[in-house]
Amino acid sequence: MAPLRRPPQELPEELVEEILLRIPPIEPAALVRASLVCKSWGRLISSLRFRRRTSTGEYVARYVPASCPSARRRADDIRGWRVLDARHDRVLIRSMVHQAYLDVWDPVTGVRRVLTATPPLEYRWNAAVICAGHGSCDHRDCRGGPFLVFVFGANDPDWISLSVYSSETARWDRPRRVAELPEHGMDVVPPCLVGNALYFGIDLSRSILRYDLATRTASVTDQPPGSFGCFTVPMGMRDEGLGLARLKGSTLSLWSLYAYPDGDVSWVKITAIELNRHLPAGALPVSSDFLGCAQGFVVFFVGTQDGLYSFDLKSGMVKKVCDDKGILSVVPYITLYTPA
Amino acid sequence: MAAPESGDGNNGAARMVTLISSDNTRFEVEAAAASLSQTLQLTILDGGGGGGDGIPLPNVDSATLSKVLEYCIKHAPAAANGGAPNATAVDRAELERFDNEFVNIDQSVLYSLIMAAHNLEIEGLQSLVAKKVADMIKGKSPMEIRRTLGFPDPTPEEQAEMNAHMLEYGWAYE
Repeated sequence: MAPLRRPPQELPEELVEEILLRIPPIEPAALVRASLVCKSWGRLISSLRFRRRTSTGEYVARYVPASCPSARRRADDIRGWRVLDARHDRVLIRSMVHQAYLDVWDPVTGVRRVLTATPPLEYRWNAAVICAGHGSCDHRDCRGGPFLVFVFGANDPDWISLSVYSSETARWDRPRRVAELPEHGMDVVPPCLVGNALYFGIDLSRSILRYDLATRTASVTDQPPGSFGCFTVPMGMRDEGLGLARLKGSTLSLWSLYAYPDGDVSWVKITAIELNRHLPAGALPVSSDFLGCAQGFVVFFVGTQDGLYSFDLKSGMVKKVCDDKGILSVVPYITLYTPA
Repeated sequence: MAAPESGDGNNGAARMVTLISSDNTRFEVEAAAASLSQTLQLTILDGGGGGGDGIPLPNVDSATLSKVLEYCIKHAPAAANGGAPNATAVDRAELERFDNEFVNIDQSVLYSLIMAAHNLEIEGLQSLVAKKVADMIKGKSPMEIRRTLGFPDPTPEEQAEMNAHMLEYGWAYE
């Protein structure tokens, strides 16, 4: 096919924008390539305006998988640390020593903030990081800004208590009891933020702890029946509701929490997928001790005998992400970053 | 919509308007179809384009204009119904089939078509062509995108930058 006729003038920026906005969100790499076509395209794609127009944020969401050299180089910075949570361009990591230290790290810039005097944590605990402006910030340009870290754990046998760290004051507030401590404590799986609430798996996937950031109160909801002991991950749905992915044997099921008008809630199974049918034979069995998902249930990561695989629900594409077998969890980190 | 109810053609002829391309070809078309263009709609509502007068379009050549009007004529009935609400699934499927074939054209035409849709403010057409171009470039490297869109060859500086980018973001080129 002949190339487009040499334009008498360049396409006006509005039209370039209209075209780039229509690059399918599940192909973020295409946008990365487009950003290098020329300087003006690069500027356009990095602009706040473009990011705002891609209102779901998905167009510019990019995976930085292990194959990205800069991510791998950065990943060396945190060898020996475990990623607990990632959100709003910030990644929360803990040292793998007995008295855990917490840092908040930006994998793109490499900037790392050490949280002073982490409260003593015993039993099982978990934590989340959010932008301090959550609620008023659209999180498209808050990289490097103030953040809050919420640590849910126990330092007595009966209660889950919460400590909050503010990067602005560089202090922890006093631990506060928020819920009864379940038999098995907090699960160490990535939490999620949906609307104005944080959700954590607790009690070996029996329930979910919901913490409302506005009212500063916690409540507990059951997970779908039969989840106890399975690997489950809470996840925000596209409609702003709460979802959950569960791995039981090699069956991946997805659930959505349905709220009735009278205030009752119940889990509805959206779909179930036999991973055995999609993964290569050499990769089986699926190791059931972790699972990660990104982009609102579109891409899943599962650990297998043969390393880490990603599975794209929409296209059905299965891809080996890395060979490592000793992975503890997968915390998808989605961000926009265009080199200046 | 305040456009004349001319598309139904129950009794009497639909109102027609004349458009004149940059190379002076005259196109006579139903006002309802031409009104898909936001730019033309205002002129037509003011009574322009009828009789012996035509509306001159100095930025659109006849080949492009005939293509633009093909789109407008096909989409006018659905637009008059206010779009989707009254359309049956069959109608929608038919329009979709038409759209797919419509943009399955030589790339050289796409460029003039999107410029015309932009200048005439025909939102549906602009969106259709933008989607087509996005589909064309999504699997291509920066260099291939430049060639596809008829950019001049990159300067050595731009070339070096692309090479460095490919090293850094190898995953985007898999």
